Amino acid sequence: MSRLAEDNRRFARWSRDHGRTVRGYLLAMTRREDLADDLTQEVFCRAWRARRRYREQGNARAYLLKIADRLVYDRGRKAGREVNFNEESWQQIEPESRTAEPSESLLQAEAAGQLTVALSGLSSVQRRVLLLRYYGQMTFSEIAQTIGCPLNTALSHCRRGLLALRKTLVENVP
Amino acid sequence: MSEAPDTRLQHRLELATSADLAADALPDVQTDALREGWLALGQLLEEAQPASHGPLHLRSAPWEKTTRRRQLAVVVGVAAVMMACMTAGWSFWWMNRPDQMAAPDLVPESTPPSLPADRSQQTAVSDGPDELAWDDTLDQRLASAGQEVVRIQQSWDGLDDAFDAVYRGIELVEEDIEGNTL
Repeated sequence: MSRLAEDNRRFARWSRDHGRTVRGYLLAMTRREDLADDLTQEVFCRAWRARRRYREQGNARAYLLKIADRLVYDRGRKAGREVNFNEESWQQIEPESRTAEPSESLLQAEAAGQLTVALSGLSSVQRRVLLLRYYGQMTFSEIAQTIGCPLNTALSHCRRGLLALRKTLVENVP
Repeated sequence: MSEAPDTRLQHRLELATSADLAADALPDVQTDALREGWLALGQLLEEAQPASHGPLHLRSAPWEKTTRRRQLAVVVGVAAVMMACMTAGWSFWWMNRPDQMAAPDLVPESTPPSLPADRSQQTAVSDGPDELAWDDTLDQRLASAGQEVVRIQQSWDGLDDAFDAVYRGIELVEEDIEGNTL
């Protein structure tokens, strides 16, 4: 099989197996579907351009999420501000280019609202650590390497983030 | 100096955030609290996701674009080669087409036909299928006759110039005789 055909197959498989996970991570980080779609496209484009440098190590999902995380972080940094998890901040960075589709169900809309509130109470680093752990199932060493901090710092962020979420979502539930 | 990893915390967090964990596997209350926060986050993330039906479809897969570009390049290359072959073949046919091969030999202008006219040639021409066809031999004879006339005229002009010189000399002698200068 030619190298191009092999690459084609691999990326088609990645799109099928990990596309939704990558989009879910980006949607959780940006809370905007149009932006998540654009960034998902960009993630796979970047992975394709870098395919010659990729070495198969069995964790394509983590690889793609690292690209996604870097993409989100760079977008926010270019705008000269921290990536704050709220729609208003992202609206200033990336003005919505098309009309957002209405939520598919009331339950989903309610969950989306609660998620926005919960994650907005975390720092950007805490969000990145928790979402990379959830979507990428990365080890804490990999997470620390991805976000560029020591391992103990990543562990600390994760612990504080989980306790804050428990307080918001579990203790404060009427 | 790098800090020694907090292995205890790392182990606790790995347990609390593991994908599948038995309920009685949590070692202490702190890990249990972390696990509660983790499960609540997971539940919200799942509920907040838009309903999905099947795998994600990208707007344009870059690997498909590359394949399409290569296929297009191959098609364009083959078409260009075919066009070049057709052009070369047509040019070769045009240069060697049948009407070009049977063209009659032209009579050179430097050898006019002999006078008087060769009636047998005229007859052969006039007896041809087209009696009104242009007679090149007649045209050539007219041209040679004109050239002869021009040659004779030029020779007369030369003689005229010579006579002018003689007349002028005679006039000079008469002037001398009248002026008693001889």
